[in-house]
Amino acid sequence: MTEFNKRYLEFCKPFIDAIKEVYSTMMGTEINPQKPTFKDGKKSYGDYSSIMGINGTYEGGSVQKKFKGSLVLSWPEESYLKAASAMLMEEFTEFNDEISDVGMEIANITMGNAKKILSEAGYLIEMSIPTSVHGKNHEIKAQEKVVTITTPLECKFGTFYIELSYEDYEA
Amino acid sequence: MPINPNMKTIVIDDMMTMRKIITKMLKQIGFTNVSEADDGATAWPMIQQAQESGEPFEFIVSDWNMPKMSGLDLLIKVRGTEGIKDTPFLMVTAEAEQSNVVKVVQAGVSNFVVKPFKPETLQEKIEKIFP
Repeated sequence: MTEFNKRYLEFCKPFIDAIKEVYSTMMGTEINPQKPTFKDGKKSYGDYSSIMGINGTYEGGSVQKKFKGSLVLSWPEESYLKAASAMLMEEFTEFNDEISDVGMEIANITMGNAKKILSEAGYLIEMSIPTSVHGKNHEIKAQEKVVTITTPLECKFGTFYIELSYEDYEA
Repeated sequence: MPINPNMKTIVIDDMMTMRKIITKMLKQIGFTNVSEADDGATAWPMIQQAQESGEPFEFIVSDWNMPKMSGLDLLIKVRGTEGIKDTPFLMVTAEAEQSNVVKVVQAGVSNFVVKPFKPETLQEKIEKIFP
């Protein structure tokens, strides 16, 4: 495994742990991560995606790098509605303004928690503000020409997806 | 200073989702007089007006990471303003690094809660502010 791949994997794991913690604490639901795969293209697997840009610096021993990438969470409509209902403690059966930023908040908390773990491993991330895209077959511009790993996440609300793009370069 | 259910409270978060969750949790705890604002920049004039009207907010619950005015900047403003500088202030944050904790403690936060959290955790944090 190359040093880059090691860093990529080390970088991804805290995000999976963080989203598991968000679902467990705020929705009382356990997540089972499935096999990660490299993503081909930038088309979303879901109907709703929340996106956070990632910028930061890495310092590990004598290695110093800058890195950039993105965190994307994508939900098919049904799993989004069920997650929003659990999180807000009321039932939603269709997408509306009231639940339009649930995904962004989940991304925000996931990033904040992963950021803490990563800071202890030498990755210092600057916190950003999440954005969202909604609609069938939408594309994620942040994933254009960047290596992206998709991990399906199964839970009782259905499957949704966490996608991480990461690239580093000389500081 | 025990929890007064009629305490005038403001919940500040740019995400409607988190405002709703916190407001619901506060109501479950017993709070009845809860206002909301969608950014520190929106909340600050509300806090000033409430003070000028003679009915200041008695408890501020604010997110940290907001686009226009952060919770930390709002906390610094509150702590620097005569008449409201002692207002109990609970910071809600997704960032739990030690360096961030030090920043809000130095700025005079009353307590902070790290997202994600359960209703019991929020209640414990509030009870430490109003023992």
